[in-house]
Amino acid sequence: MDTGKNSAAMNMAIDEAVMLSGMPTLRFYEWSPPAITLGYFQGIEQEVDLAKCAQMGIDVVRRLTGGGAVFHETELTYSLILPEKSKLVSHNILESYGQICSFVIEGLRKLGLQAEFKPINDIIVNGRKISGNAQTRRGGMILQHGTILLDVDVKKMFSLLKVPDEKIRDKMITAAEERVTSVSKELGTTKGFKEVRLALISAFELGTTKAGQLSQPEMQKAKELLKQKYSTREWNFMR
Amino acid sequence: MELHEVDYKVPEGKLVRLRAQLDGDKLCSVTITGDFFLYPEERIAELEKALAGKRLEKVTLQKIVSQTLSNCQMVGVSPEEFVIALLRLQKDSL
Repeated sequence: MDTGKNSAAMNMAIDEAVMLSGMPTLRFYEWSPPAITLGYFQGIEQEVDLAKCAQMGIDVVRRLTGGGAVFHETELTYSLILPEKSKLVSHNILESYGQICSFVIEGLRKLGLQAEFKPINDIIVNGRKISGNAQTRRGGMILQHGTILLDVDVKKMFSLLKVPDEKIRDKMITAAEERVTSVSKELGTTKGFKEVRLALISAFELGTTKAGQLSQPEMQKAKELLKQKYSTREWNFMR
Repeated sequence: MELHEVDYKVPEGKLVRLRAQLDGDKLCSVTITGDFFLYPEERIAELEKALAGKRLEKVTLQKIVSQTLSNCQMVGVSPEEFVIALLRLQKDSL
């Protein structure tokens, strides 16, 4: 399903609502306004320049999944929700990252990108990161969500994140610019959300699948989680 | 009481960040943050609670960490790595 553009809190609420519903789902989504998501265990004030985000109208939300802080702007985001007992994925979490990422890699290859898995949870093209992925498991279900960078503005990303030492901010930006790439950088042409989404759908397509939308109970649960969890200070400032 | 902080990058793994109040070698409180993966996630809060009031001593820490995180799956970190990070707290006062 494609749930279009939503706020960061709503995007996280939908992922959890679908996971709780127990329905195997592949979802694509975008962020409006642009957002920073934090890993479950990260300290919000340690990682994010909250004043700068407020000033620039950037959403900040804590994810249900571990991993690092991510700036979401020009990208395609997916989430894959599967029962833990699915034969498609290993019980071993490290292995399952590789298995789920192999679908994303196949999709990127269809676009002409030489994508490869880089453990623990990244996908690289020509040695540079193009996709980050994060996973959690609860209630017998697996949720893995990840980003595919369509374009990237490392300078903007670093202006929103805290760095350990201001004196080395410029060096970190240069280093990150060398470490990170995007679909448009690699292909030299702009590929949009829809094109990349189609390539991924064909890679993920297994057995009988059908395009769908959020069910009424999923939508209701997402609205509940939005209000009671992902929009709250209690959740976002938990650490 | 003194505030101590440690950033410990696990070799080939993720970052563990500790922020703790110490009274001598006693760990009064600690917050564990970082970009690692641990399932179920809620267990980290239990670990912080179990560590409060304990001495920063290797065997004690090993016992608490392995008990509290038993049956947890971890990616980019391990019980041993949490203990290494905790033991570094004594050397890193702010």
